[in-house]
Amino acid sequence: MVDETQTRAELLSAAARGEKRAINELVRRHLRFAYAVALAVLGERGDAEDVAQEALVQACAKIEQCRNAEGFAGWLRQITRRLAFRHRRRRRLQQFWATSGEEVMPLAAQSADALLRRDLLAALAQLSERQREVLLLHDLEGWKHLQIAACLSLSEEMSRQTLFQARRRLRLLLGRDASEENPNER
Amino acid sequence: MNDERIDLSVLDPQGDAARWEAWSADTAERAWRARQPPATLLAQWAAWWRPLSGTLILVGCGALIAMWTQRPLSPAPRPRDPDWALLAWSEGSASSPGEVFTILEVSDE
Repeated sequence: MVDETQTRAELLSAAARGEKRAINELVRRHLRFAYAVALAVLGERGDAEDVAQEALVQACAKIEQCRNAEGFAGWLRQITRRLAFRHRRRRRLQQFWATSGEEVMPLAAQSADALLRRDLLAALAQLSERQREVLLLHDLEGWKHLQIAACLSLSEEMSRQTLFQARRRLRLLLGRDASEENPNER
Repeated sequence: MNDERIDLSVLDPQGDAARWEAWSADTAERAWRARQPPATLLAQWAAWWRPLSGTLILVGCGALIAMWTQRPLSPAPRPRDPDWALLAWSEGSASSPGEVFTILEVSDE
């Protein structure tokens, strides 16, 4: 953990000096995280990718403002969320959530992955934003509860509970494990 | 109660390796460029202003040289030249005869 912190600190200071290799590494380590955070807010892959990219560009441009390496993920999350909310205001994605974004192609023409993605996004839209964020960070980005708790200013226990509730509700919405769920329970 | 990880791979941007590579490389390139604004601005400034200011300096020097070379070559008659003093007096240019005599006296010394 200490070595990892040192490495991250070195990476940040090298990126602050404008070293291309360090910036490359920083982007590769955090791009998917920024994408998960943006996806939790926006609910659409294309928008989330745009916002994640812009967040990392902005983070690198003002990297001196990140005071400690340990807090880089939390700092990047703030930037990403701010951009995502601005993006959402512009595109009025609340309406998108009510419908789902990938409806351009007729259903028959969509691949199984596209259909699954559409269903998943529609189900994710029914979760709270906190549940989406915890779920995406844990099940997509592969973070541990300790990391999620630190980044989202939660307790580890709260992170576990949120994840549990999010998974249960998502399975219910996707029609899986229905027999194990109480439909009246949320 | 089933609490296993939910498969979100269809949402994973790394699912399509080529697209992920292109996306992360593009992001890294943009992030790197965003890290270079002062140097880039300076380079842009230098790229435009160095040649431009050099040209302006050359044009200015050329104009000065041209002005210098085109100045009147025959100098005006010196005021203390006795011949000029007499000529000027005869043409009414000198202010007084005393002035002419003063000039002549000085030139005689």
